Amino acid sequence: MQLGKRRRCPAAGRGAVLSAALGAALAAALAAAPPARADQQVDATYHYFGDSVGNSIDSWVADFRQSLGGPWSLALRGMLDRVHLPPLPGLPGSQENVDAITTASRPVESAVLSKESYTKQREELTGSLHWQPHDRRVRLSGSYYVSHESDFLGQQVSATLGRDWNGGASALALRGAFGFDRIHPDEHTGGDPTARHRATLDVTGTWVQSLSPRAQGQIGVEFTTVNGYQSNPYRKVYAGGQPLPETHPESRVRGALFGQVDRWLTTRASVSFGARYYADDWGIQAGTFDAIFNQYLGDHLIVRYRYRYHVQSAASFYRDLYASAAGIDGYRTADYKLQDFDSNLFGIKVSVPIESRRAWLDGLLVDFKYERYFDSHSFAANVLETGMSWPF
Amino acid sequence: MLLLASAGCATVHPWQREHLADRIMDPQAVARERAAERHWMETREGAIGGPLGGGGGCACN
Repeated sequence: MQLGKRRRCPAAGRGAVLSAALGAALAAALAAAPPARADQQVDATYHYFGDSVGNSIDSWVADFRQSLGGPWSLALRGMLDRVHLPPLPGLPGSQENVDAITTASRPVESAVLSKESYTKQREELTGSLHWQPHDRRVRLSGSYYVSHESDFLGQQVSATLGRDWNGGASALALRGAFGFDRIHPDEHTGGDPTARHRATLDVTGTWVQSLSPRAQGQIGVEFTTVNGYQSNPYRKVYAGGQPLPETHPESRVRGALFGQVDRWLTTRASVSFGARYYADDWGIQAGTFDAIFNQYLGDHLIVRYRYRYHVQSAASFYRDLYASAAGIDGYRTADYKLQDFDSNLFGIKVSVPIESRRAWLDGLLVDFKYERYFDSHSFAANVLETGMSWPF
Repeated sequence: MLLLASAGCATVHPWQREHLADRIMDPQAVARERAAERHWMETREGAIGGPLGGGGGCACN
């Protein structure tokens, strides 16, 4: 569920300490909030993901935005994920596990523990500072993000510059981000506990254009370079007749072009079509299409229907089975994300405004969402989400 | 993209943006939702980048 007014920015934290810090920060910010202003809001959301192989994720998200006076504002976002993974179907390192989706996601300390379910927790916290003067022609923001798991610490700093033209009919946003991650594997049978690092540099440009009083569009480009450890320390690849550690290249350059058009319809509805082309130097090319139809029912209730299609080719070094331990050009992978496949997603969302004479409930909005995802490799998942937005 | 480029000189005045400002026309209205979606989608698809895909996260997820 969500409370308050939104301002996007991912957030992460460090274990229970960060969770507590997040709660304290939100409570302090709420306590310090001056009386009702239009750009203050807290959002809270619960998100559930469950798939056909027994994995599930419970996520709780809280967003808060506070005006600091003048052109300045502060945004905080906290997220807590609890990932539940089922017992492994075979012994650690056995061939049955090589193709099991669960081996991609959990360490295995022993054969006995491999037959027990496994739960992992992830905390995120993001803080961002925004500067936007009253004429709103230029906007600046900076953010810091931290994500923590028992075997992973990710951090990112980013800066965004926005500029409007033609009275706001045209807008350009440029964003640069630098991330630095530390991977420190948990105890794992046959695993290498050595800590590794990874650095990511990302640059994104987006142009948003009002096309008419009833239509708008956006186009954008994104480039990302990743250097450092990009394998899964728990995953084994069956190569040359034996299970061996996964070995991915330590450098990757990724690029994407994307566009979207939104159109208002006379029936108090809107349609949105989006497309994206992706390519990287590991040999993957992908296309994604997204369509959304929104419809007002009554004065405020909104029903949204969504369809998404994704298709991608395999990485150049991906094989279902490797004939030799050397793999392809020295690389081996059992990562299902690097194979060719296509996927479909269907979804429906209902947003319900709560009307009340009580002032503190004014503007409350409750959301419910269900989505069904399935791909060409017989994987399927259900996604449920409920949220509440509360301006105060 | 050509459509957007050709519309670069089109003028839509602030008082004409009633519909563009509506909740169901706001691309940012789904931004938070997409951020949460990335958490599971990045574990299923190998192509990230842009607003329609996943991104970030740990390779060991």
